[in-house]
Amino acid sequence: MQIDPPAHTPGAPAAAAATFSLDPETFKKVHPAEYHRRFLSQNVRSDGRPLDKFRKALVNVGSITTAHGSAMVRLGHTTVVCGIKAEVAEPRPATPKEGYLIPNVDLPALCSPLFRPGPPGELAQTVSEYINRLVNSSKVLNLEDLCIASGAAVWALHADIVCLNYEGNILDAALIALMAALRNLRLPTATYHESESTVHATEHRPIALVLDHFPVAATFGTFDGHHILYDPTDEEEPLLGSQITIVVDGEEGMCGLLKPGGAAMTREVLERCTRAARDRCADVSAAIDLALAAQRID
Amino acid sequence: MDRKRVSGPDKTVVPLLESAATALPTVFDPDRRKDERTPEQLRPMFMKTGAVRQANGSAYLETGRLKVTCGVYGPRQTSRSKMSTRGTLNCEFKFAPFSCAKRRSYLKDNQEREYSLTLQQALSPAVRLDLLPKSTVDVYVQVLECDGSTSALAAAITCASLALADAGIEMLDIVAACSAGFIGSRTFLDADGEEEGQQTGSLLLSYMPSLNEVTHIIQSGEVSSNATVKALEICVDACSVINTVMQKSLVTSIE
Repeated sequence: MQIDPPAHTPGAPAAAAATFSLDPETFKKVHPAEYHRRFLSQNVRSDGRPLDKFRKALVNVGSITTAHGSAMVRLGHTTVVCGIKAEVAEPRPATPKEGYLIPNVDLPALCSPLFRPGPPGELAQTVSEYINRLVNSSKVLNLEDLCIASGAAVWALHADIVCLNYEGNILDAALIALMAALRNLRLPTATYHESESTVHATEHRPIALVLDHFPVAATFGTFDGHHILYDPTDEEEPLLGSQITIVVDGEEGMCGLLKPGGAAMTREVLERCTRAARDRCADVSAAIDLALAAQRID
Repeated sequence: MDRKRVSGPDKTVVPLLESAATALPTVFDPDRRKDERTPEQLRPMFMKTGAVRQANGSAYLETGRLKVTCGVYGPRQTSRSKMSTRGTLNCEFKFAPFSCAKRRSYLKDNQEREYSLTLQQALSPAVRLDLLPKSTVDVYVQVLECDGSTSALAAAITCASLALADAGIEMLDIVAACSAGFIGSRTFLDADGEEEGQQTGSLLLSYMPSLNEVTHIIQSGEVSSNATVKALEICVDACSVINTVMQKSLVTSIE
């Protein structure tokens, strides 16, 4: 048997030893920013997307039968489930006809090693609070529709959004899930018995809510100042110079704009992101319509 | 008051059901179950590993309307700097707020605390904790939809054991769990929410099917010892059935 001579010239082994190489997984851990920069210089991201592409929103509604309305949303691997439970409460004295919509986002330790068990962390708190402010201030639904008996009993909609798999951009996913679950929500016919001050409800749930607005959030991040990354993932999130979330409502409306500090952003970038958010809004509402139609066929 | 969450009104209640007041209570007969199961039949079961991307191991389990997901993290360093030659298995069992008939709070209640402990007791005999000194394995279980609380716990144990296997943590055998209910002298498997309301007692068995060993039993309610022995037998048989489903989903995850 003949042993092949080494392919390189005698000088090569020393040169190979001098160049230091890392396998991609290790390189990502040691130099995360540089790792992503190499991808971005080729106009592609580490998950294979172009810079200006959102992850496809996959929506499924009505899969949780213990909830009055429910939806599961996936953006890439990010998975959230929103379940709305309708319970009866006393209205506030100042607003005797208005019900309650109480959204909460939970990031349990199950969904990522970033989160610890126990009380909600900073991210969960800010996202919950922002969504609460958004849906209640932009009047997504008329809270007076939730009245059972004025001054005595109203519906309180507990919308609990649980993340099952965290891969970044929880705000967009949570808002899509909340809106899809609200559209899936069916309330029973309720009657208030004044003599016993109790509320009786039918088992049948015929009442759908009228939604006046349909906010859809789109999040963007800037990397190294000049790269705009649409829909950042959990790997990209800590490396971003600044983040901006634009919440639009259909063709015209604007419900919210959130830029929590970070690097400054030019007006051109802001305008470009707003246009992209409008396109995103159309795609997301189409995905929700499709899910609702699929459920009706079942 | 919980200041870290969006809080609604102080007190909310479930409305009374109109039909419940008029309908006559029907007595549950294990031979005539609503979903046409025989008394010794489980609900159809679906399992999948790899549900949580960032976890070391994870699994999703669905049986009937019951939906459970589990993520395993570790082995990682124990946070307290306490030297121990054996690893610890930390289990957390949580019902999602919308998973039950009445809304559940985010704060851990007594039932969840008890179930977390049962989960840990049922799984730790199977896990080779002696190979993991100074480390912790965290097992987080979330119930998305509950249909019978004892069967939810059984599903959680099965799902968690599948997730541990998916994480590549050394075990003596996987643990399959199964619940049985008693009504009078009759025994039936895998009670759903409605049947659970009528049963007079229950039994939960956690079992290592290949080793033929029991890791955990808990029985409640007054039943004759004969009925308990019979329930154990049918649970052991059912665990072997569950085992084949678990094996199959593990093989699929490798392919």
